[in-house]
Amino acid sequence: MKAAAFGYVRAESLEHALTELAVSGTVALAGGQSLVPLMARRQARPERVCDLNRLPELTRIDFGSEQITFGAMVRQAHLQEDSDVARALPIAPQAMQTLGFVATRHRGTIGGSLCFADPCAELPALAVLLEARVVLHRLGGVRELPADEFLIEPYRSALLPGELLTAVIIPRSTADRWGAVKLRVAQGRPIGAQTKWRAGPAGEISDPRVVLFDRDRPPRRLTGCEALLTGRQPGLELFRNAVTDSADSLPAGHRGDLARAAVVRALLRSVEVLNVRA
Amino acid sequence: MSERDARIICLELNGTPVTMTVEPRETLADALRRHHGTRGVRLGCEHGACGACTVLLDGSSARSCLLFAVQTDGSRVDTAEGLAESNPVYQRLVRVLSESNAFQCGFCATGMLVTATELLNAEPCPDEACIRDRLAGNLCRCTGYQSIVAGVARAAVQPAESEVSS
Repeated sequence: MKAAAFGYVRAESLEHALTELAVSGTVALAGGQSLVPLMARRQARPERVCDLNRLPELTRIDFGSEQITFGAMVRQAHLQEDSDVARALPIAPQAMQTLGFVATRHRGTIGGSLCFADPCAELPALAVLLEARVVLHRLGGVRELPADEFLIEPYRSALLPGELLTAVIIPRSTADRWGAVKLRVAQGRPIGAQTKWRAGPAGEISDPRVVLFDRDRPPRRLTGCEALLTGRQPGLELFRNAVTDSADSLPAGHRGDLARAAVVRALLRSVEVLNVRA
Repeated sequence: MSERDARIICLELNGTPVTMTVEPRETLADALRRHHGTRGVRLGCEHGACGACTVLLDGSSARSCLLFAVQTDGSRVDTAEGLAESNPVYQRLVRVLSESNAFQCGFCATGMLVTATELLNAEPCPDEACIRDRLAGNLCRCTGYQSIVAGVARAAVQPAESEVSS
């Protein structure tokens, strides 16, 4: 036993979870792949833990015509392996390949990863890339926030005490090229990039999105790079120039080189893997 | 009863129903070793980095040091001990990896074997990249992994134990 003593409550319904989380000192336990190590090291010493792992209402995925709604307790392994998810979002299995390991993905969840807000992790970046909105429930209320407003700074989200992230809404995308890369360059401090775009009538890049994730800031779009890619034919030279010549602020020194490499590799992956949307 | 108090949980451990009295803060790994002597659940880092404590929870690999035992009430848990008794894929892995001296000190062996068993059950003939990807969450401080990856690849292409034994 390494964790400090805590009170344990298993949520039996969403209403029950919200009631328990309204009690001061209670934290939500999702997959536990980040919270439990913190508790083992006593960097986190919650008074009470509310276990969300038996709430079927938080594990559903609703494939709507305009948007896809993921329950917060959908496991990372499900994002990686489910064929319906892969058809709707070909980038999801790509991005999950580098998130932790098979045994941690079986437990780790979408909602837990977003709330942990690790700046070097895949899911916060994916939420920004896909322009996701998060649904935050509290006792007697609910609000929605865009992912980039939810992720305030490294390891800090806009979640208020008593609130629970219950779902992630992802608008359907017309993109048909997707690339996700993470460079495992330093213990716990990797750097990565994700991209999506649509191939125009002549194969040119249309409506590109490029997101970078790194240690010092939440994941963010590189809009300068996107502007230089728009309307051009994809290719290694373009990719290199777009990330080198853009006005986006990148990390200094060696990590800047790594950031540029990650973006170029994500763009290359988007043309290598012709994961065309069904 | 206080929320901090120890409580009784029931689970199916290696095919047998068992009960345990556990405090909320007791991990599944600690509880299994303390109450049921499953020493195949190795405790290396105790914070999710090494994979030595890997078990199958309701059929899927999970790190038992990152689960509180109270969470697993009503679940099925399979450890190296149970798989060694009853799982032909696990038994074949043990035989082939032992014959090829895949491990040195053996501390990581049970975690590796549980992970590899899950892999070969789902994918009987994985390529080397797939084996490396799946074993990436299990640390070995002796071998440099080459012999383990090669051993799993050899076990993957051999006929099942049940087919060769009488």
